[in-house]
Amino acid sequence: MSRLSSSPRISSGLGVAGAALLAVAVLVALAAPLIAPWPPMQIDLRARFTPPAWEAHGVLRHLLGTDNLGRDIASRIVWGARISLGVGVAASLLGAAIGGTLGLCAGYFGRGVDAAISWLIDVQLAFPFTLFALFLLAVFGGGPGPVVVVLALATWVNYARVVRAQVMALRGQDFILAARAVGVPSGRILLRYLLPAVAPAMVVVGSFSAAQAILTQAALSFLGVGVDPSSPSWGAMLDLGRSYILSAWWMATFPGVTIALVVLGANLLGDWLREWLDPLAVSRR
Amino acid sequence: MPPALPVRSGPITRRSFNATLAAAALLPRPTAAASIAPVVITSDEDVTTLDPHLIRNNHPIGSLIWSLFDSLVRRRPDGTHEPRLATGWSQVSPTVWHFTLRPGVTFHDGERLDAAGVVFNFNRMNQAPWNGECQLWQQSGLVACAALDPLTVALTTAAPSSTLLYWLEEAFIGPTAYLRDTAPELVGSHPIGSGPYLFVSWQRGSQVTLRANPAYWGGAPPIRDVVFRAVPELSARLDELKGGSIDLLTGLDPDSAALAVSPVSGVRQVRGLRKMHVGIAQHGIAPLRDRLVRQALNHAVDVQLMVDTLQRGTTTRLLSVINPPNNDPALQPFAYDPQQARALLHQSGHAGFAVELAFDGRYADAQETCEAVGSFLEAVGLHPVLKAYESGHFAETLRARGFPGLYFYGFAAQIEPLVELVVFTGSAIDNASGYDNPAVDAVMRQAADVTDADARAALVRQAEGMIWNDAPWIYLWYLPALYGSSHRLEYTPRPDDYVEIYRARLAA
Repeated sequence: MSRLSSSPRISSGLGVAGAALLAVAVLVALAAPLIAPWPPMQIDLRARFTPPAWEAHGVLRHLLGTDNLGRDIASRIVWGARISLGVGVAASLLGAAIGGTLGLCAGYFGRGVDAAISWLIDVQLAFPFTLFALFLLAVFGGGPGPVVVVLALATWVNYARVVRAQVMALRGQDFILAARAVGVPSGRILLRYLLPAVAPAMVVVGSFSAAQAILTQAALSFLGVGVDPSSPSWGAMLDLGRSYILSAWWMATFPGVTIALVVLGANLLGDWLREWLDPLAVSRR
Repeated sequence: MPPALPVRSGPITRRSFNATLAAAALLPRPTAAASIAPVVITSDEDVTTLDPHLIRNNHPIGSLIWSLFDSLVRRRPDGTHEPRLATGWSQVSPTVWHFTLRPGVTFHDGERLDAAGVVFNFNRMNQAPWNGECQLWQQSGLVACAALDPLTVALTTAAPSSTLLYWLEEAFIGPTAYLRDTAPELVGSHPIGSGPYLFVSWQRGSQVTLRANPAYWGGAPPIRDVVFRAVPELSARLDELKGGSIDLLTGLDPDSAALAVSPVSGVRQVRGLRKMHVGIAQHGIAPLRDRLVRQALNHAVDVQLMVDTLQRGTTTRLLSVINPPNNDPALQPFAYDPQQARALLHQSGHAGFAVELAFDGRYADAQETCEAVGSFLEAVGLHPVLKAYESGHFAETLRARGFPGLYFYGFAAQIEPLVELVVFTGSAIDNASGYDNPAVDAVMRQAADVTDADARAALVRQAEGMIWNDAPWIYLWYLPALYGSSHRLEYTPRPDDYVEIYRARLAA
């Protein structure tokens, strides 16, 4: 009993920390024009490879140093938050729309529909995703739009599996049977009765998927097929910094730490939401 | 011979063992020849073939072919010519040349070099797939070759050719029977030449091993064992150089040069000759066909600042489309003047257009160069859009003249005015920008036809000036030729990326 009462409190502390990390990231992204000291693309060749302010030869106006073209690292990280969070959240929402719809249909209609959608899920899971993403982006070109679509293709499976399982459990329950008995159309049952019931689970999956999308987006930029190579995306900054890791450690380190913190924040929040929204997770312990 | 160790009979005691050990310590160290580690030369990619007529890049393939094979003529690092397999040559008429072969040369498999073999090699270069890489016939205008006697080859060109020697320097000769009777794949993986080095092995994806040819006609090269090894990452190459496991590091860029300096290694630099530029495509968007726009682009970019910062002063900006020392010293570089650039754009009626700026990964600094150029163009009101191409796709687009706007590229490291100018003539195969000025073409045709050297030089200078002012490129700089080198290696690098390791020696 003591375990039941204490464990949520511990994880809620971590959850709040995760939420705080994400909140800071979102605020930074929203307020980028106000807090970034420099325009993210402003090149200053005379100031290239300026180290962080606390290092020898560092200057306060470039707090985290500059890159190989003299662009301010701190400003690029601030503006990069818009790309990384924007793409991550958009991909996660699109994935939720696709995965949620398919999951609802598979779970509710069963039989052939379920078989077809389950087959699709298996195919997607069997496919090496990075290869698939590289192929799609090489064919359709980079840019934020295609990247969001590709990342959504990576995340929809998460939603579809969870939603399908939940709907299958709910399908035989009295309130659904009653609705069907009085002739409520299928579309209405799905949207008004089942969707609200699976929504908490989708929120949990969403937070993990957003973290996954942010990380994958960074990976794709790192591989050079993400958004425009010169735009300040964290993954692209990390890739650029790799070439100078011996001579300018700050170029790769700060974007890397930022990615780690934001992904950690999203995962902590997700863990906490799962316990908070799903009482079964607690009682199962 | 080291003295023999004292031989003892009976059981080995601690005392006798120690005595033996002490005696061994007093022995002279093994003689140098037996213990010297191979000289290791790096490249960022492995060779794809070692066929003498498929030189796809100057290094590592070109460097290896130069070591394993001989051409009739050798190109000195300053672009002048010296005898190699040919001991001499003469132009018996404006279109007919006679080359006298070096007597007594044998290939690594024992076949003797003769004129018929040279003719066989030249004919092979004129067939697919070899004529795709070997440009001897197309570029020099060669139309016939014949063996006059066992040691004399006659070459006939369609028109008087001023570039024949240049292209002969890249035409390497192999043994006839081996080339004729062996599957091309085998020729490409087990090369047999007459050069200063013998082929030992090729571990695909990793390294090629060579050993000095003791029977070389020019005497065995000073270094016995040589390895060409592919190490794709520059940071890994630098670590190996400092660790003493490689001797010559290629592909060093100005930003990393300082990292090559260690107790066992340093940096070697020669003046580079590859002309780095941003090509201005003539077959894409309309504004770029206007000369005023092209001049405006040149005024918009602060090349000197980029040389001082991005290139760390390791090179100088381009002074002409012809390499020194043949360039016209009177030509002035376009001054950095954004005001003037804006004025010219306004005058042309093409202000504020969007333009693609393409690059690939062939040159390590391509992206940062293009981003910097892009920011300068933005500053005069243009809208550059950077686009990264995969290297194969980039080369294909370049050949097909498919770029719609600007592209970052380096043009050949050559010292031969007519060869350098030919890419600016309308019909040239390598004319990637599609620059086409009939007046320039006419002057170039005249220059190829005159035999008087002074008259030709004057025509070349005229064409050079016309092209310079027409600005088919945004002129940048000479690619710095930087190498990391171990202290034990004594070698003066060439500006054109070929590594002539047979001219290197080890420090005493």
